[in-house]
Amino acid sequence: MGLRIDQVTKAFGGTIALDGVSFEVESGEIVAVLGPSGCGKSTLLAVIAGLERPDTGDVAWNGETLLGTAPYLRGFGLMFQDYALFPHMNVFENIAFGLRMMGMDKSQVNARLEEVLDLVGLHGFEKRDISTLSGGEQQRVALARSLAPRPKLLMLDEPLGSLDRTLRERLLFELGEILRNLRQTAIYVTHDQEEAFAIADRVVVMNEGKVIQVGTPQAVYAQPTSLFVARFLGLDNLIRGVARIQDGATLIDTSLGSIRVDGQFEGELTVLIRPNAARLHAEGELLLKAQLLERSFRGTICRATFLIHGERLRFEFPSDVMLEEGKTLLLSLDPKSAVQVLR
Amino acid sequence: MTGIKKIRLKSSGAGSRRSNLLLLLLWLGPILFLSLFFFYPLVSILRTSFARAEGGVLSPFIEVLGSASHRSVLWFTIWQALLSTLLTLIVGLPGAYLLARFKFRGRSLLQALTGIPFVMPTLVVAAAFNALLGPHGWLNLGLMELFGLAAPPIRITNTLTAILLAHIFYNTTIVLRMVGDFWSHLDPRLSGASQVLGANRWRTLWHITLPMLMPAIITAALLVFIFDFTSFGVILILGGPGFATLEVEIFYQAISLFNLPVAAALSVLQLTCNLALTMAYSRLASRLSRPLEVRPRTYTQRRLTGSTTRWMAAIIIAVLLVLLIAPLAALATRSVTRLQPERGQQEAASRGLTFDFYRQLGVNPQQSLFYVKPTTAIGISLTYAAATVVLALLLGLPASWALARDRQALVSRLLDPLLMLPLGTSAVTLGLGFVVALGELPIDLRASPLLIPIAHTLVAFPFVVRSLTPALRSIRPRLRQAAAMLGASPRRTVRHIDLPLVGRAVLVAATFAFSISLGEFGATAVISRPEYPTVPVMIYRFLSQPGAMNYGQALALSTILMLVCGGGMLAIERFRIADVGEF
Amino acid sequence: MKRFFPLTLAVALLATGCALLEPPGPRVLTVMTHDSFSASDEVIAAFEAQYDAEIQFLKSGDTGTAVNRAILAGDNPLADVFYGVDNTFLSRALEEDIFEPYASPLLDEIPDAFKLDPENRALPVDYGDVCLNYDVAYFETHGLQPPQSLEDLLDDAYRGLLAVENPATSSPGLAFLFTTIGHFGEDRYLDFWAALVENDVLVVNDWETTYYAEFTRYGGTRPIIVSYGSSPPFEVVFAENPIDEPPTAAVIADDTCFRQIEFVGILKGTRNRRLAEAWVDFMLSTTFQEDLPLQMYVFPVNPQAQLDPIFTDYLAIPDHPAFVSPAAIAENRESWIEAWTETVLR
Repeated sequence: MGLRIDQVTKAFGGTIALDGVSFEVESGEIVAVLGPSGCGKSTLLAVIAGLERPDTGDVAWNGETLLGTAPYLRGFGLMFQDYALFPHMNVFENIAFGLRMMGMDKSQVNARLEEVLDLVGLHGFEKRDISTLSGGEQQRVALARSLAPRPKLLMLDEPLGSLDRTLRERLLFELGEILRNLRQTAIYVTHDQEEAFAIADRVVVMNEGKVIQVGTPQAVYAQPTSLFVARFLGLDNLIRGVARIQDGATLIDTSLGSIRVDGQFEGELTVLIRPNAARLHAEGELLLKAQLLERSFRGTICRATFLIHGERLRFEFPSDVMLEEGKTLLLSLDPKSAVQVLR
Repeated sequence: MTGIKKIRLKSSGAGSRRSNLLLLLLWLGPILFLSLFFFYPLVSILRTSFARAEGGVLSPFIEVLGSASHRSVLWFTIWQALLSTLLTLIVGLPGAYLLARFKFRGRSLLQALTGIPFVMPTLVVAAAFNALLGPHGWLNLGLMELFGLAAPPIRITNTLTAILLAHIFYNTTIVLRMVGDFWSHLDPRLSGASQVLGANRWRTLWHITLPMLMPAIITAALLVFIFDFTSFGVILILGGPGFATLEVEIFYQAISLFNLPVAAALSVLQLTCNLALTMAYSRLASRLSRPLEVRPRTYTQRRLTGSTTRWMAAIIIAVLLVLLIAPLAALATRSVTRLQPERGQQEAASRGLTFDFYRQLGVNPQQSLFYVKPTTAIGISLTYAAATVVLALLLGLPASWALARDRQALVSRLLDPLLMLPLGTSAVTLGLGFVVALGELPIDLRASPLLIPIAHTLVAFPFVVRSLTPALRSIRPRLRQAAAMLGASPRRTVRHIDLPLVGRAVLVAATFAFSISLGEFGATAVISRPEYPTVPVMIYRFLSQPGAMNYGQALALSTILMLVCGGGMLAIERFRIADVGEF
Repeated sequence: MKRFFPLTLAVALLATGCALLEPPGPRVLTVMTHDSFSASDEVIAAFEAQYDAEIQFLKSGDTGTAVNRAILAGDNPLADVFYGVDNTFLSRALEEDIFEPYASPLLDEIPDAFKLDPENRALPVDYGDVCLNYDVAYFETHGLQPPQSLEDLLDDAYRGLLAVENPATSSPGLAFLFTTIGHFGEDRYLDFWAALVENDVLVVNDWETTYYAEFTRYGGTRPIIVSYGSSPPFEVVFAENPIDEPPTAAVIADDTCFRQIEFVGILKGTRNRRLAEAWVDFMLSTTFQEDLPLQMYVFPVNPQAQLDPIFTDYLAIPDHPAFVSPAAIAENRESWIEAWTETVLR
């Protein structure tokens, strides 16, 4: 039960914005759609909201197609990028708009507004003009406006995009809390993996109008299935290699040496080495001589860049590990957990 | 709340003297121009006129207000203008929507075509309406044929319907351009947000789109209303003797009877109405306007897809074609049709195609001193139009910039309503004022060709200011500051930030100035030099003489005027200022 | 072409700019006139050559507007000479005292009937008649006789056939009102108009619409209209295809037309009195007088002037047009028009 997107395609002129997109959102679930700007995320929301008609494919709610249903009859909420607050209305009027459209009477509107203002912490702002609000305040108004009519599905389009970092982190936390407390079914669109991982039950990674990978945040981070996802998640220890089968096992020849992996592969491919997989012990299956080029302190962890057999690789260690720049060290890797093969 | 107020007070306190000085400096050109060519002639003619009143200044007013017929003229002037404005909005707003929100092939052409009526001389428009709706017009002939009627079923000559149709015909382009341009920069996501929040199309239109369009709508409505309020030719020629506006009555009193005191009192009455309306408009406008984020057209416009959208577009275009383009097409068709059957072939037959009227334009059969070739007349018309565009922009840009900078400054608040006055002033009265006043200047401008672009600029100036001010106001100070921080000098900021952002509006303003000059607005106010006739002047010359050839040549020249106007507007549309692509 | 427009702009504006800076030399004579004025190139050139002068014409609107402008310019006249005030506006110009008297030697040649100002401030130049015109083809096909008097217009046979112009807004309309006043007298003209209304007369505000929209000849519904006595020859000269007989005709029976006489006068305050006198003489001379008909379709007051064959062939000039004196016109214009409006339009 919930939302089902089925093979949705949408083109504008010559450019294809959505190319056979399919995924589902279960009731009460928060799904993050993650991808670089221009990947079709906003178009996807417009299609779900009914503001755009897909060229082919279907959008269904609880098993019933929505294609013939006008946006205002779908009962969804959409929080726009930059909020799209009505400039000619004050805070109260903006938030009450959807309620009035539902035909609520005055006392019902007032009561619901109390609740929503409570939820987003905007008491006392009712009469304020939109243009006098700060970015964070506008964001709350926009959230309140889309939550007020109790949408069956709430869509948020880069809701924290234009805010500063500290505000973003605080609001992200609050937003997650609000959505979870309400058991709100939601689609959260962002280009920021941290936001996506922090708020979502599941993540849909998109690129160039296509869905690349779907899974829980942990699964996607642990098992990126493509080069694009790996790069997008900031996993950049990527080296080229050639796979061959020897004695029933797969060996990949790389500049680091031959690495034994599970599964059957053959031919040229790319190998991802996880940044947190290196140990400073001189024992293990794969031992590498590494020259420490540079290190940077990142709070609880420390990131170090090494030159290993001509490749620049980055690894993370707990901050208390002592590393001296310029020194050559011996690193050990366990191929089973440290190495992943990408196509 | 209080914090914000304090900051505002502070900033206006500190730099107020310097910024007031700057505002005055910006206003200097426009104020000088208006004082010299508008207020001075106007005050002069009013003084001269009232000096002729026998019972003192008040007596003509008492006479005017005491007369039942003048009161009914005033009443008719008001309600026909209100009704015309309302109908023009009803026809224009859907068109503005279409032009603002969609890209489709022929969009520019449609926009240019709908602008042509604005420049057509009234007599020619009457001929066009007659060709379509007259007793022997195509519609009546068709209906008679269809239903086997003996008499034409539609009578439009000398009716209120004719007046209303003509006002719609002339002024719809104002709504299309003013509202259309504003609309094309509105963020379409706002109506998307409204629909997602449960408002259907109509409620979205009512609660979101219309309120946000209001500043543009009331501006267009004000301009249309003033045109209708001071309407002269349309009332006289299409309305016939049964209808009179204040302007018609002023003409009768001032020219036919030379009763200057009464004419002056009527002019003051007309002016007062327009001033009151403009002041009400200014108050309303400052209440309605909001800081809006403007969006480029690439972002706001979409293709015509889906059958509902296509049907809607087809209906809107059809309405515009029928009301605005069909009369023009009728004119053009008649200009290449034989008007008279050859002798012996009564009625019917022999209504073939002919280019005689066009050919004859190149001939001067009577060796008249005042004959000019049509190409020369086009050149003269375009020269005046170019001069008007330049002058109107030179004066309009600083004035709009000053208005946009600080609407609340005393200078701006005082001057804003005054800018509109030339538009709402009787051309007959002002023309007599030129004669009284402009001979007193060091240079006698009364009969100079220079006065023609000046008179056109008086009418074009309010349009320029009204088109530019909202666009300039939409540039947030942050953008200018950002440019300054990136090392742009104030001059380069104007070049790279202001100009590109208001480029579209400058083009709209230029189009209006061009059309106003080409259509010879306020031309009756100016003494013409017969060696420099414009195209409309030539058209009137032909129409003032009997003879089928004269009539045909007038139609041919009108068709040429349409082409020149349409071509000119398309050219302006293509013109790009400072890399202005899409704004 | 591209280079042409900016060039015209530059030349036109620069030329006037220069002209404005220079004080007007004695050689330029400015003639203020109405919009309908026209003359032959060579005729004006002949004058300019003879007097080594340049003539600058100013077109100042219709007759009424032009006269009013001349009056309002006051002590600082716009021109040296004003041409085109007619007998319906003559009294206004004379009352406002805008002309200097000039007894041209050529006045001797002109019949006294045209000289309406004994002080010779305004000198007659030409005349034209406002008459009923009818569509010949219409009367032929309907087997109808054209009307021969104003009274005929009340006949049932002419019901719904006449269109006239509004005297408040149109010069021929005013002239036709004067015709009825001249013929019926001040006490009875309104009865005639009331009867015309009964007989379904159509009133139009301007001559152009009357002629080109309401006249059956141009697709209208009215075969009789008020126009000029000279309109039929116009129809021949400006025909689409060469024709040898005018498709319209004017009714010239006694008391059915009103004669408009146009005058010229030297404006008070001129600095070119001598040249202005020469120009006035020239306008009364046969050279200019013979040029008038084909340019403006009005007729010379100088009997020495020969008419072009086109006019001797097609033009009918009424022997006895209706008459109302300029003084009576000046006195009663407003009250007559108001009474007419009350009777016909309300």
